[in-house]
Amino acid sequence: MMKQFAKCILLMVITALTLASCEPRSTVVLPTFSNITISPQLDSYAIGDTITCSIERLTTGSEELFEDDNQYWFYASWWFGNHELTADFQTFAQNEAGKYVATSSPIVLTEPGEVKLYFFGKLQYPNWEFYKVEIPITITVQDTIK
Amino acid sequence: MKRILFIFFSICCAITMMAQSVTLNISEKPIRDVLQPFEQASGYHFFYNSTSLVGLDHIVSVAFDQTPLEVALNTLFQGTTIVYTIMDNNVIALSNKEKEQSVVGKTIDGVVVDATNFPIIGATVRVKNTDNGTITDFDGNFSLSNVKPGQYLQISYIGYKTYELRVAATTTSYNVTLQEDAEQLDEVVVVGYGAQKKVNLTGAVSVVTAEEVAGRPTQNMATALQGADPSLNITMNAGSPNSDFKIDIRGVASINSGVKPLILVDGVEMDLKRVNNNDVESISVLKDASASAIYGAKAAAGVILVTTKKGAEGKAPTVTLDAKAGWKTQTTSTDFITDGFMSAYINDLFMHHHANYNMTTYNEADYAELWMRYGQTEEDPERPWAVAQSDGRYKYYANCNWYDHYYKKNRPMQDYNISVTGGNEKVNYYVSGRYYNEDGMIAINTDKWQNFSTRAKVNINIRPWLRYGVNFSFFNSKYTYPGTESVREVFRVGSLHALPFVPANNPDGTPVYMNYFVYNGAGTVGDGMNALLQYGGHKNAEKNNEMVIQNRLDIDLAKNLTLTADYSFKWRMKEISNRSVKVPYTDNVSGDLILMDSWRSVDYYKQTLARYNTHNYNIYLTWNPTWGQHHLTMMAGFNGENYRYHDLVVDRLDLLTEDLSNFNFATGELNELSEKVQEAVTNGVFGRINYDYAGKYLFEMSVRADGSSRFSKGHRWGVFPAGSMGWRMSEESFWEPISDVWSNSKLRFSAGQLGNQLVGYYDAYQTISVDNIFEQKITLDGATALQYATESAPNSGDLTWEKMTTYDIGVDWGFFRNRLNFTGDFYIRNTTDMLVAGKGLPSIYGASAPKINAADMQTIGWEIALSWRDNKKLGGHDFEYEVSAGLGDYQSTITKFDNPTKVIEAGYYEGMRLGEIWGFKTGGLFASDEAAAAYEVDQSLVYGDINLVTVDGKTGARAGDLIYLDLDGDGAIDNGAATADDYGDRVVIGNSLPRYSYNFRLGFDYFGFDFSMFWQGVGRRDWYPTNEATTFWGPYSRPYQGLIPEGFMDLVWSEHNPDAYFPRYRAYEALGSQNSLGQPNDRYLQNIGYLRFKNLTVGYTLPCWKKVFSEFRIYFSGENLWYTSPLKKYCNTIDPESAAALTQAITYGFAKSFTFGLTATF
Repeated sequence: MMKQFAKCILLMVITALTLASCEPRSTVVLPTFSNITISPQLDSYAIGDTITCSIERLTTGSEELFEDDNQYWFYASWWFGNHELTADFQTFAQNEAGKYVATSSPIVLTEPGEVKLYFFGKLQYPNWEFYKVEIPITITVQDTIK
Repeated sequence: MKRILFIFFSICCAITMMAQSVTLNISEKPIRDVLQPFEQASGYHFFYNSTSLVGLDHIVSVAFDQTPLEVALNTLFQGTTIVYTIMDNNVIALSNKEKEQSVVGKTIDGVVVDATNFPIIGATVRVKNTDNGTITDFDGNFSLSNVKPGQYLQISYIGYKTYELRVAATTTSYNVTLQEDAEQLDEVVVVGYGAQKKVNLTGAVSVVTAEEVAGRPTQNMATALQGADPSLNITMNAGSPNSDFKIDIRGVASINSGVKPLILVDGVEMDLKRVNNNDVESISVLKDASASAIYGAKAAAGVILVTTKKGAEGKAPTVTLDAKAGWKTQTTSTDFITDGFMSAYINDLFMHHHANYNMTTYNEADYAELWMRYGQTEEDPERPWAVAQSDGRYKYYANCNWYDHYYKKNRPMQDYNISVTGGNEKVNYYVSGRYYNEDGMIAINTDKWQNFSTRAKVNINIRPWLRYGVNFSFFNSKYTYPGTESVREVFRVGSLHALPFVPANNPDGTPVYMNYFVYNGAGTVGDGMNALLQYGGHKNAEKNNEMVIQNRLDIDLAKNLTLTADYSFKWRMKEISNRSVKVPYTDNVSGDLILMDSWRSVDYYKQTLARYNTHNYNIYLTWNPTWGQHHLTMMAGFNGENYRYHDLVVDRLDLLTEDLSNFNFATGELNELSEKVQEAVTNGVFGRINYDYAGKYLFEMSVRADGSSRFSKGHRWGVFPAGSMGWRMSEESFWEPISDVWSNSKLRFSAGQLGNQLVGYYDAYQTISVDNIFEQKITLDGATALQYATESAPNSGDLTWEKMTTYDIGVDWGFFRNRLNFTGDFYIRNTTDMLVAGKGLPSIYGASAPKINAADMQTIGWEIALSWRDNKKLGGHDFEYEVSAGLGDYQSTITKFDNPTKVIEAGYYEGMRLGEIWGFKTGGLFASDEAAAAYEVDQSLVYGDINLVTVDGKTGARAGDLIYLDLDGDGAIDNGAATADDYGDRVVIGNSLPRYSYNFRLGFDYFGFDFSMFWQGVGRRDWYPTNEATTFWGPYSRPYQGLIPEGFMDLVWSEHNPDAYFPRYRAYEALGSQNSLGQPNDRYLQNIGYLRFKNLTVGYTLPCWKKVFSEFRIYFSGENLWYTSPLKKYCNTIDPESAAALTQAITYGFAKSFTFGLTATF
C-alpha cells in the first residue's frame, strides 16, 4: 500500500516537473529562403570578376511579421572591416515565374582566397522580437587579375 | 638470563607483598575515590586506565585493619570485573574482558516523575556512554533491556536536571524523580552594569545567543545580527566589504540623523563591523527605557550589549580551530542586454520619442553592421567590433557585456579563526584570533578586503575577595580599491554610455573612452570609469586599526557588597589614501594618446588621517542582600567618558611619478590642507534598585544624571529616570493546577525617559571659520589672496537634550514545562524636544534659523516571539530540535513640528506618519492617441517634456502615456497648496519605513548531524525609484544607460502590448520631477518587502579521532542564499535591501555566499 502511494506521489512530482519545465511554444513562424545563387556560376572566380547574388523567399512566415520593418541585404566577407563598403539592401520582388526573389547589386571580387557572400535578413515581430536570417555561400577567388 | 631475573623479581615482589598490610576505613565511595587513600595506606601505586577501566565507579565500603595487601585488593575489587597484577610496589589494574562479558544484561523498568509526582512523558532513559536507550511513555514508564549491573542509567528531560543511577545487581525496577533545572530558570541575561536572571527581568530585553551568530560566513557582526530580533532593524548601506550600516531598535528614535543604538562590547562602545562573530558569548538587546536608562545620554535609541567569551574555569587548555572558505556571488540577476543592435535600437527608440531625434547617429547601414554581429558574444575576427572611419576614428559595432567587464560574478573568500581557552580556579583566559579576506566585486584591478583581529581576556582571582580582569582587543583591516575616491562611483557612472555596441577596448587594446556617434557629438564611456579602471593608476586604500584595552577590578568589600571599577581606552586610527592620475586614451587608428579631459583625470595624492581616542571609566557599588524571600540588589556608580577626534587631510597636485604616492614627489598646488579636532566629555552618575519577593513580585527603579559638553552651561545636565515592575503569576499557589501546561507566566510594565545628546559637537556654540579665501583672490601684495573670517549661524542659547519617554507592557509565557515560550511587548515611545531648525526668519536676518528643541514624535509598536524547544528519541538516537519565530511592527507620527501650514516639502508636519510618501494616483495607460487627446485633465505638471516636444508630428499625450487622476476635480493635475491640508491631487501612496519585520529559525541535532536555517524579512516597505535609479528605469531615465535588464522590453508598452507595465517609450521621463515618471505615483511605487533565506548551515561531527579531537566537525554554511520580493516582478536586478539603503539603488551589489568549513577542538 505504502509503495503504491509512494509511486503515485513520485509520478505526480515527475509530471508536475515535466509540465513546469515546458515553455509555451512560440507561435512565430519564420519565412524560409533558398540558398544563394551566384551569377555567373563558375567553379572559381578571379579578382576583378563581377558577380550578382540572388535568393528566393520560399515561404512568407507568420502574419504578424512587420513586413515594412523587415530588411534584407547582401554582404561580402571582406566588407566587414571597410567602412566604405556597406550593406546592399534589397527587397523581394515577384519574377516572371511568380517567385519572390531578391537580387544583389553587382559585386566586384577584390579579395583572393575563400570568401563568403552573405544574405542577411532582419525580421521584426511585435514587441521588439527580432529574428536573424543569415545565409552564406563560400566561393574561391583566384589571386589573378583578368 | 632475563627469565631468571624476572622470576627473581617476581618472587621478591610476592614476598614484599605478603609482608605488606593495609589499614583503611572508607564507606560508600566509588573505587575511583578509594584508590588514592589506598595508595597512602599501602605505599603501593595504582596504574590503570581511568577512562576505559570498567568498575571504577562501583561503590564500595572497606574496613581494613592490618589487612594483607592481596586480601585488601580482592575485597576492594569484589563485584567488579577488575583484575590486578602487582609489580614491585605498583598495582596494575586491568579489566577482565572474559569476566566482563560473562555479566549478563537484564531488563530494567521503572517510572519517571517530576517533583509533584506527575509522570514525565518523553524523558530519555539510556545507558551512559552507549546507544542503548529509550523514552518514557504517556504514564512516565520505561523499559530498557540488556542493562548490566554496574552500568549507569542517565535519565534526562528538557527543563530538568539529568539524573544518573547505578544499576545494582539485584534491582530491576527504579522510580526516578527529576528535579527542575534551576540553571535554566536561572538563565542569566547581561544588562547594564550587571546581569539578571532572565525570569526576573522586568524590562524589554531580548537575547541573541552565540549559536545564532557564530560560524556564520559573514564578514562582520552587523550582517550576522540582521533580522536576529524583529525589533532590530539593520540595513547595510551597500554590499561592499567596507560598507557601513544603518541600525535602529524599534524604529528611528528621532528625526535627527545620527541617533542610533549604543553598542557596547564588554562595556566599551564599539562598531559591530569590528567584532568577530566567533568571540561572542551573548548579545542582549535592551529595547525599552527601563533597560536602557542606566546608560543615559547615549541610550536614547536603545542599547546592544555584546558579551564576549571568557576563559573556562577548571578546564585544560582547549584549542578551537575554525576554517572556512568559499565564494560570494550577487544576490540579484546579472542578466543584462548585451547585444549591440538591441542596445542601439532601444536607446534610439526611447530618445526618438523624447526628442524627435535618435540617441545614436547610426544609419541604416550601421544598424545592418550591428545586426550582422547580433548574437556574437565573442568578437569574430571576420566581423570586427571597431571599424576605422575616414577620419581615423573608430565606429563601434560590438556586443559588449559591460556587466561582466566591470564586475566579477564569483569571488573567493576565506575565514580562519582560532581560540584557546582554559583556566583554573585562580586564573582563566580566552585568546582568539581571526584572519578574513575576500575579493571584491570589481573585475578590473579587483578591490580586496582583509582584516585581522585578536582578543585576549584574562581573569585573575587574586584573593577570594579580589578579582582582576584585563580584556584586550585589536582589529586591523585594509580595503584597497580602484577608481575614484568613492568605490560607489564605479557603480553609479560605470554604465553610463557604456552601451553594448561600444566595446571596452579598441583593436589596439586601449580602453574606449569616447564614442563620437551620439546625438550631441560625443559620449564619455562610463564617464571615464572604463578608461581609468583599465589604466590602473587610480588607487585607493582604507585602513583601520583599533585597539581596546580594558582593566577591571572587582572587590568584595563585605558580604554581598562588591565594588567594581573599570577603565578602558580605545584607540582607533583610520587612514585613507587616494591616488588619482591623468588617464590617457586613444580614439583612432594612429594610437596617439590623448589625456582624458575630466575631473576624474587629475594627478593628485590625498591622504586623510583620522584618530579617535576614547577614555571611559566606571566605578560602581553593587549590594545584593537577601532576607528570606526578599531579594534586593542596589547599584550606584559613576561613569565618565572623554572623546577626542583629530583628523588631518592633505591633498596635493602633480606628482613626479605615477608609481609612487608620496607627498615628497608632489610638485603642484596644495589642493587641501585641513585639520579638525572635536572633543566631547560626558559624565554621569547612575543608580538602580532591584527588588523581588519570592521571585513573584519584581520591581526595578533606575536613574541616571548625565552631563554633556555638547550643550552650553546651564543646559548640560539631564536626569533620566526609569522604573519597571513584573508579576510572575506562575509562582503563585493558585497557578499550581495548570503549571504543568502553563509553566511560566510573567506580566511586566516599564516606563522611563532617556536623553539624546547626539547633536553636533558645537551646535550650542557659535563658531568662527577663518580659512575662507575671497573668490576673486583679492590681494594686498598682488600675490597672496586675502583670507576672511565668517561666523556660523546664531545658535539657540537654551539648546538641550532630546528626550525619549517609553512605556512598555509585556508578557513572558512558558508552556509545557517551558518547551513552548512566548514573549510579547507593546510599547509607546514619545520623543520630545527634538532638535530642528527653528522658525523661519526674514531674509534680511542674513543667517539660517538656529536649531531649537521644537519637535515631538510618537512611536507605537509591538513585537512577539515564539519558540519551541524539545528533544526526542528517533531511531535510538537523540533528536534535539528548536523552532522559533518573531514578528514586530511600529509606526511613528510627528506630534509637534513648527510647520503650521503643513507644507509637505518642509519634510515634517504635525500629524505626519514618518516615512510617508506623497504621490499621485494613476489610472493606467492611454489606450489610444484619441483617448489621450480626449482626456480633459491638464497634466502639464507631470507632462513637462511630453508637452514640449513634437515627435513624428505629434505633441502631447499619446497612446501608452500614463494617466494621472484628477482627484480634486479641478481639471488639472496639481499639488494644491502643497500642504497636508490642501494637497491637490496628491495623496499618501506609501511609506518608506519597514513594516512587519519577521524571522523564522529552525534547527536540529541528530546522530552527529546539525542543521539550522534562518529566514528573515520585511512584510512591506515602499520605494519609489528616484531619478537616478537607472537600473530600474533603464532608458526611461537616461537613454545612454548601458545596463538594461534582459526582458525589460517585455514590460514596455507598445501597440501590441497595451497592458504592459511601463508606459510609452520615452527617454528622460523618469528623470526630473516635471516628467510623468519623475513624480512619485502609485503605479510605479514598489513594495520592497522581502523574504530572505538568510542562512543555512549543515554540519556533521565526525565520530572518529576522539583521542585527538574532542570535536571534529565539517560543515556547509550559506548566507543570503535566496530571496523573494514583490519588486522581483518588475525588476530582478535590484536587491530590495539596496533600494532600502539608497533610493537610487545603484550601489555595490549585495552578495550571497557559499562556504565549506571545518571546526576542530582539542
